[in-house]
Amino acid sequence: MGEPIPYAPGGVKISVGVPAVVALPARTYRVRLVGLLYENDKTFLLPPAMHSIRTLKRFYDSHPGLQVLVNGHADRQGPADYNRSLSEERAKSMAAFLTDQVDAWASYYKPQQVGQAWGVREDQMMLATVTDGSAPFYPGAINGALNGPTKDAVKSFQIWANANQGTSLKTNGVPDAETRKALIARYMAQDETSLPAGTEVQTHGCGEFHPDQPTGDSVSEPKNRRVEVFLFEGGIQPAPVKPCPSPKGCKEYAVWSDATVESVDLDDMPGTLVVTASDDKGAPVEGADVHIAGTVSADGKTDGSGVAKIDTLPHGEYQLDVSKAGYKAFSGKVTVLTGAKAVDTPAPVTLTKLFVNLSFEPAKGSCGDKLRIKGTTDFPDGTEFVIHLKPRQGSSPNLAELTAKANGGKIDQEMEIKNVSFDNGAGGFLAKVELEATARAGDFTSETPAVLEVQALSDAPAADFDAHRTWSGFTNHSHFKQRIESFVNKVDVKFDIIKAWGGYWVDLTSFGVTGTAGGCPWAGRRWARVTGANDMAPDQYYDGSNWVAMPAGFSYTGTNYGAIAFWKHGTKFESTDGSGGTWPGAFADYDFNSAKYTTLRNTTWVNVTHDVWSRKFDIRRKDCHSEPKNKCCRYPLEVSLAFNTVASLVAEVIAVCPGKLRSNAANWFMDEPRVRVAAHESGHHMDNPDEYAGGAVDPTLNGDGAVNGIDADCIMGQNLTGVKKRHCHAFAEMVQKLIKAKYGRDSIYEAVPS
Amino acid sequence: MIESEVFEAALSKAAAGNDPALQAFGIERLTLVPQSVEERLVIEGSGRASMSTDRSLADLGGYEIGEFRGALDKNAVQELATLLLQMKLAKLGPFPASPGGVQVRISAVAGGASQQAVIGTADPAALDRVRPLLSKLDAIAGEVHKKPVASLSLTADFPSEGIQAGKVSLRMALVFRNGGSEGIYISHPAAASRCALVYGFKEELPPDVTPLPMELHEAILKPALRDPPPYLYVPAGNEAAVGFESTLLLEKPGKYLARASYTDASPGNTVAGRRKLRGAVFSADTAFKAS
Repeated sequence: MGEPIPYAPGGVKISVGVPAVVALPARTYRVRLVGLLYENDKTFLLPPAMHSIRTLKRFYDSHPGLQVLVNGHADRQGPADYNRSLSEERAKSMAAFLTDQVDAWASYYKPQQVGQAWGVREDQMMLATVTDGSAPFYPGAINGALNGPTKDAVKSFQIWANANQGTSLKTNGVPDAETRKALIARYMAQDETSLPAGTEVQTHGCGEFHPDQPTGDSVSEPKNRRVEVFLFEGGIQPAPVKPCPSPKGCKEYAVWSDATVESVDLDDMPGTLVVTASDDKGAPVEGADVHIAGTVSADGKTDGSGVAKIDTLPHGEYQLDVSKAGYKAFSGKVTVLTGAKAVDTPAPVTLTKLFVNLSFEPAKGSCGDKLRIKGTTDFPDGTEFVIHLKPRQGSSPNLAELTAKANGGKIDQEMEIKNVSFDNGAGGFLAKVELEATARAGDFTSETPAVLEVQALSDAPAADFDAHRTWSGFTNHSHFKQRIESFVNKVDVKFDIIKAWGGYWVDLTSFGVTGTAGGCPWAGRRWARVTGANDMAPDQYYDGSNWVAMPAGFSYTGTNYGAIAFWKHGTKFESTDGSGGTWPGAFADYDFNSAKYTTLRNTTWVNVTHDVWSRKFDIRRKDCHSEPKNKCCRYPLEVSLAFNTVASLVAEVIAVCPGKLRSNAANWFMDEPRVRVAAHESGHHMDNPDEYAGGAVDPTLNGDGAVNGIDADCIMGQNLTGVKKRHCHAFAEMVQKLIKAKYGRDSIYEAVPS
Repeated sequence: MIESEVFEAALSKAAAGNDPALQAFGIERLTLVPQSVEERLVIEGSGRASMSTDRSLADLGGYEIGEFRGALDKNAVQELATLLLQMKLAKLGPFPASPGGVQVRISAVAGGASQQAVIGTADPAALDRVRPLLSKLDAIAGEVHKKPVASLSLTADFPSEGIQAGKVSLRMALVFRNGGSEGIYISHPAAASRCALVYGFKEELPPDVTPLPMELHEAILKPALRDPPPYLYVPAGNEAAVGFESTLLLEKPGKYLARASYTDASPGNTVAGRRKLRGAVFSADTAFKAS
């Protein structure tokens, strides 16, 4: 592309097919202030001029950054040279007012080469204009007389200025120089009459040489006593030449006038645009943004009545835009009227409300379900909505909002049902909770909510878990009952137990003992018993005929003696391990159901088992993300152990004995300090193998702390400590089964820490 | 060769008396009861045997805990190697065990290869497979236990006659004996409630009737010594007595049995570099009559 081509009126020539840049000339605007601006032969800017000043200010604000030239004109009364000087002074006076130059105005109180010096009359006009916040200081006649009312007004102003403007004026009612400066400052500080700080304003006086209405000499013509304010883009071109030569006037003026692209005459009172916004049902729309652009630009916002008033507008056609979130924006033209008196221009506007219609697909579900929230809307594409969920029943304080975007007039967003609380506030649970969904965008809220029915999967009747396992060659019958009650997983484990007694076997092969004797089925071993105070060390063995002392030097190692239980079968005491052993003689009887032993079994063992297994893990629907405090799709575990005493030994019956011999899977000793054995054995019923070497181990078990089926640090391991996640697998299977049976919903569940 | 082949080849040489193979040979028997007993027997190919224990597996009265050291002749070590060879340790099947119960871990090293077996004790019949080895190790352990380096045992000394039924106050001395050749420190028995006394009425039953476990009561032992130092030194081959007073409630006249215990689970095996023993020891049953 070549150099920019200067624009010329009538068009410029360019070549087809060759890119070209046309440089537009800098624009010039003109604002003409006509009317009662000054008194005859005075430079004081009169109070009635303020509405034009405000309009000028608004025009400047709409065209920021322009260079300002205030150009004064006079009619043909009086000598031409005098009129030229007077028009210059008036321009300077206005420039000083627009830029808050207090000292410049204060100088007008001194004798002037042109125009009359200011005095009490100007004081009175200013005191009659400015207020103490409620009323003008001077309500009297404008006559230039420093009379009592005027002095009172001056004094009132002095007191007020000292209190509110930080001055130290004498409060004597005398309009001295300082008082007048303070008064000028207050006069100049009237709302919306000052150009932005730093605005450079030049002045020029054209005298009587460029009349608006040509007249003969000495003719008084108000339209010629005017001030024109030129506003230039990119500097004042051409610069004014002073003084304006007579009688032809200044040639620059013609250039300025010819370059003017828009001329605004402020000879009327400015107009007020009254926008009234209502929706398509006639209801007022509050908070709508109003913007007008034309000769000036301005903004407003509608009030509770849907009304926004924008005043101080020059006459003309304006672009009117009214908008509010949730409504289709209004855009149109309006002509602002002005006149000798203030005029309102009504502009009724109808804003059509936008809509969002939401629905759930499906409209019914339960926690953890993934569904879609869909909708239609006339919001523009990309509009982001906040979907707000509100329960119709209960409180569900943890419900979260989600977002969705309009696309092609539709909304389609996936949603997981979560954090619904079915708590009914009275200790129970609701069978369902209906969620209302509304779409919000800014101040907009969709009117008719979508409704989702969330079913509480809170209760399910008991069912049995029953499985036969073989781990490391050992068989295990896993069996328990499970039900869901008020969102709690209730697991019932029951053991059949039989009253039994504890004895010992000892290996005496090192002492030359061979063969079997006395009912002990293993060669080289004999039954042994405790007659002393140490339950752990048998002090007698049965040699086949008598109970005799243990051989001297017998050392109690891990492999040469052990505990064994016997139950009374008829008149005989038979071993419970299935080896066919019988006990020689009898055991002293005891009360199996004494308070001590009943408490031990039904309180200590039951409570320990409960505490080890309960509330450590919840069974939660897989991929359900509800917070733990919400029941929703989580079911805490409660494990209850119970005992059923039987009279005969059959498979899976546990022999329960007095004493503190070391318990094992089949024989439990009621004085044993390791009370967690019951919790461990309950673990087998709940489908868990041993996790210690020598136990019924599942070597395929890895992870979660287990290596090849071994994990010492857990309830199924050697140390009988806590429950791990893997130990809850059967509960998760059962929850799936229970929920499916009761509600017909087939979901995967898993154990998660409580 | 795979590790088991290396192990068996070296073990064969050791069993045959090959000195280099014997020098590299070793076997350990570790007996564990979780949070209670840890007993370790180590036999080296050189014949050196050592044993450490912190509690009798059976809470046996008068049992010595501590460190013990003995020596086996070459034939005894060869015999162990031979038994190991016959057992085929690594190929032994599972031995039923009880959760939290006694567990015996046997490990051996030969020719740079090692093998281990964990032996549960829940099924006596299952132990038949390893009984020759276990019996041998029991016998060795018994012999080594007779040769303490530093040991601790407990006896209780209190009057056995002239005691009236009812609430009685007894003075007694707990005697801590170190049967070893090196002096030991122990946490002072008079501090921190480390000592206890249990007692119970001894029912007299016909010999063919096996009594129920005695119903035992625990009596508080109040030390005679106020503000004892934190440690008690028990010289080598010597003993130290600590006085206590206790109140017993003897509900009826007859024969009673009592036993005392000392338990120290505080951490640390040394005090200023000197050996400190810890664990649990028990006195033998002491019988007394209440009239």
